[in-house]
Amino acid sequence: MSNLTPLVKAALDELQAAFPDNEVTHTEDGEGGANVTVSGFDIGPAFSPRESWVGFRLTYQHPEIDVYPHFIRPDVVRVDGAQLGEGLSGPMTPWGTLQAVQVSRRTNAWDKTRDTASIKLGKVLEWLRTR
Amino acid sequence: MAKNSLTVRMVESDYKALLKHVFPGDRDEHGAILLCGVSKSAKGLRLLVRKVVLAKDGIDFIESRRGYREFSARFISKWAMYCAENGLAYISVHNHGADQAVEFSRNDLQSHERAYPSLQELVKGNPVGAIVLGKRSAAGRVLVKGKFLVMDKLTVLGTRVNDVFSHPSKRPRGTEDSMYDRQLRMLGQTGQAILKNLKVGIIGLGGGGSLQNEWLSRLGVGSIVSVDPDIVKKHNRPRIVGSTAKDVAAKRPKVEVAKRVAKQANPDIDCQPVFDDVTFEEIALKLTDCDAIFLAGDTYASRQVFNRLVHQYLIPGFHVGARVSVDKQTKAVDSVRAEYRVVIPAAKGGCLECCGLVPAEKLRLETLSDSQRREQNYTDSDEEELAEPSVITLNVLSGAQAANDFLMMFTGLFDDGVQLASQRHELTKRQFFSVGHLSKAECETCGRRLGSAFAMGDGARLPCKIRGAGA
Repeated sequence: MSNLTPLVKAALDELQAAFPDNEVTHTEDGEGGANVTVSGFDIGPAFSPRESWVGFRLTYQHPEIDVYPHFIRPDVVRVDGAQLGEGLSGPMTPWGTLQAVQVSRRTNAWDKTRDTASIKLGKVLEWLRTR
Repeated sequence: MAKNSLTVRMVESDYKALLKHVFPGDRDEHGAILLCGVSKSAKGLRLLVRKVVLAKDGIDFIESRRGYREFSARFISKWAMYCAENGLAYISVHNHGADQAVEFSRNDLQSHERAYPSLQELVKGNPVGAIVLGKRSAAGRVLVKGKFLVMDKLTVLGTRVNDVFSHPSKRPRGTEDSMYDRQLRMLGQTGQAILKNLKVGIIGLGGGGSLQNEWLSRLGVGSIVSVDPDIVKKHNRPRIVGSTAKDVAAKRPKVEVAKRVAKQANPDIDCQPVFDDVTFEEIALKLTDCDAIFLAGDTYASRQVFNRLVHQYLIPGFHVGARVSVDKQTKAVDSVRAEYRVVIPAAKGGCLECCGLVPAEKLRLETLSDSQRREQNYTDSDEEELAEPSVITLNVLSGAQAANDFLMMFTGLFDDGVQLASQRHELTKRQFFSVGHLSKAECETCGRRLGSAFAMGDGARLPCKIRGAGA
């Protein structure tokens, strides 16, 4: 039996609909929210490996608060050999045993009437692809 | 209050508008519809007035073939469908020329029997009913699952909480109890009886909450629900009223200490200790039939839940706390502040969200574990959370005004025209400030727009956690 809030469930459905070629999986966080992983993204030419999943948490408060931070595979490096750079840090363990690099792209004026988990994921991907 | 009781709750501005409409001075009958959220609990049913629709004479409220006046079919249909679509109860209102005692006429009762079963189908099974108003009285009947319930009272929420009955004899009567002799001299038997019939929730039984628990139980409040997931520890003993070294050794829940203290003050009080977190849905729902809620918790999430309970279930709230800022480098005390916020479900009533006191980023940070916060590079903000650190005398300062406002509000002792502002004491400066309230029409908690939680009762979700399997 699912113990997700109705709005978290709806966000998961929207994510799958917005990214039909990617697999959306989640584990429940025990409070009505979900730790989400969306697999199979091209994170752009600056990084190697170039394919990564993206993870993030939808708390029980969703959509009232920003979906932040996001996470990508822990073994990613820059192809030019430089440090990962501003907005990227880790690796760390955001939940369970998952190791990940954190992508810190906060939406300071999060507005739930305009911002969704899907839209935010799209923005994060765009940012990564333009590093 | 007996099980299967029925009460209707509305904010004062709505009640005044309703009275003005039905008693314009022409000694005639007028009508309105109340669209109500529904709140069910073990105590019974509460209908929470979300919207008052005034019926226009001659158009919406017309001459009747069977009685004196009736609502037009179009008017009924429109608002019944609105109730059906939005999960609301439909309550019609009209007036008689009565004052302190009012009752339905035979025609009124016959029309209920005749029309309400089919009207209930129109509103998809939601409660339907009627209220008849006198100038200072109200009688009501509501059809719920095929059975008519009689309204015990209409509760009007403002600076004073005013219970309106169908007859003066319905008002609870007190008994002379020598224990309350000194209070009776101020409150009267009626005031003391009011307190005895109140159910009060207290969120957080640390320093601030334990004081409220002591005071409310000594005032003679009938029932206290205390909610706190924490236990008594050595470092919080100086603040928790009635706590002992044995409680520390026994790792006693704070709510159990609160029950013990309350029972010592008033053996007849009903205490419901809840050793759990109010941010879980099934815990917050234990407070929905309270008459007042005190918040002395120290998380933004509990603040959010408290604020929503106040507005969604039309329950006056009192938020107390203290804050001491200490310079991180020098350890010198920068400021000492005691704050009290009154939150009533009314425009500029102190909605914590409108006042910026439930910031989204703080809520998000609270969802992280300590290790996650460290890993994600969050340093402590300069602004410490309200109610930290706790010194008992600071808690007394913020809590005493709250407790006395509660007393004055519910026993009707406030003077006309009193404005309930929130308060802040800056102790190092020995300054006192009244803090005004903001209201935003688009607020999803206190605003009245379609989709808001205001007066929705069980028809909207509280912003709460859902406990996971095995949790």
